[in-house]
Amino acid sequence: MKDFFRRNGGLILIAAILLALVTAVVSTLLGGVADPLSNVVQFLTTPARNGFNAVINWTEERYNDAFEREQLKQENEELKQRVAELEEKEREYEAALQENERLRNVLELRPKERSFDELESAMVTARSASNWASTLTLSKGSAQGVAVDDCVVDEYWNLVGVVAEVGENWCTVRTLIDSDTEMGALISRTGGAAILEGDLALMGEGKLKLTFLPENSQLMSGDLVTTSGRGGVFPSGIVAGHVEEVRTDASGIGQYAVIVPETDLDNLKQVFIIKDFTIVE
Amino acid sequence: MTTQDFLIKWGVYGLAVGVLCDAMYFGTDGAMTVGVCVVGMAAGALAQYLLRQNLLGCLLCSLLALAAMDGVRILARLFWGDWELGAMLSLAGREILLSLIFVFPVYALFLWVYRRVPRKTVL
Repeated sequence: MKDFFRRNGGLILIAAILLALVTAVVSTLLGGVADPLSNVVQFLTTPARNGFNAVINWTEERYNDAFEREQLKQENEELKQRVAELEEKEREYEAALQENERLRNVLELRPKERSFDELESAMVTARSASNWASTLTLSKGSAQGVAVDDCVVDEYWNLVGVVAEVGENWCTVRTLIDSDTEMGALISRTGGAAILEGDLALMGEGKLKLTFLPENSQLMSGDLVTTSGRGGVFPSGIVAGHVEEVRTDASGIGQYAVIVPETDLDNLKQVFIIKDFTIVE
Repeated sequence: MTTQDFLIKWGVYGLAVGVLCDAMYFGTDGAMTVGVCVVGMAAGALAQYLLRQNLLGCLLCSLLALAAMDGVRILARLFWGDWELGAMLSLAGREILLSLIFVFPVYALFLWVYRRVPRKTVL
């Protein structure tokens, strides 16, 4: 074996470097579709990852049943109260909605539509292995119709992130706190537009920032921030997070808001990929 | 050691580690394969011709290798318009310090294996 490498080692090295360069070029050109090497490795490891996650989730459920019963009971009571409050708000909302529809008919406006035509559920099978990015690996891929730039939400319709790389039976989601994230946002209370951006320093704290704040915006802690849907890539109205505080940037002139994501990225198990949607405002 | 042996020993090993990193990490696009290969060969050259092959030499090699990889990563981000230099340096510094802790058990493991392999062993 040593003689084999001695005779052919140089050629092997050159061939391997060329393969790496081809992989790099192909990966750049494919724009989000996984390069063949990553695809093969992830394709082979996905079943094992799915299996491990199933075992871990089962174990966690048994643990919760055994040791966290009292805490769950208290949480259940609090949630029942919250549900009652929300049901009351929903009744008010229904009345406002009906009035809105009547007025739209009177003014002969096009009916509002908000439908998510194709939704794919997926399990979170891995989290980012690097401190420089915040990503999740999911158990669905191109075989299930998942594509790059598909929006991902949790079971409460809070924004999780965007599909950044797709393989045969897996995909990588860049979460909303990743430093490369950038999307249009709306402040729910005021209706003002801003930009949701990831920030490397805040990513370590599990947060992101809201920049290009509207002039004279009076943000309050707790203000909800949703996606604006500008550009048509992401659906509008998906809750991203809430304002924690407003800070002055390094220049001392501008301001930005620190946003805490509404979704619990550390404990996500199941998410939903929005493959297609129709929104008429 | 001949140059060819050196390239085979350090280059191929670095290449294999780099290929694994590219397959598992997101957004590297082949850069880790070439990068870790080059870092591997550079570390091999340092260890072979400049430094003593002891724990201190191993620590120094690891420090330089980690600093080089994070340095390239920071330069790439600066080039693409990410100007959070303070945050990047802080993250790189913490990463390097924590990674250096692992040099001790890894060095101990390699030393244990090395002492048990007879000198005349041919693979």
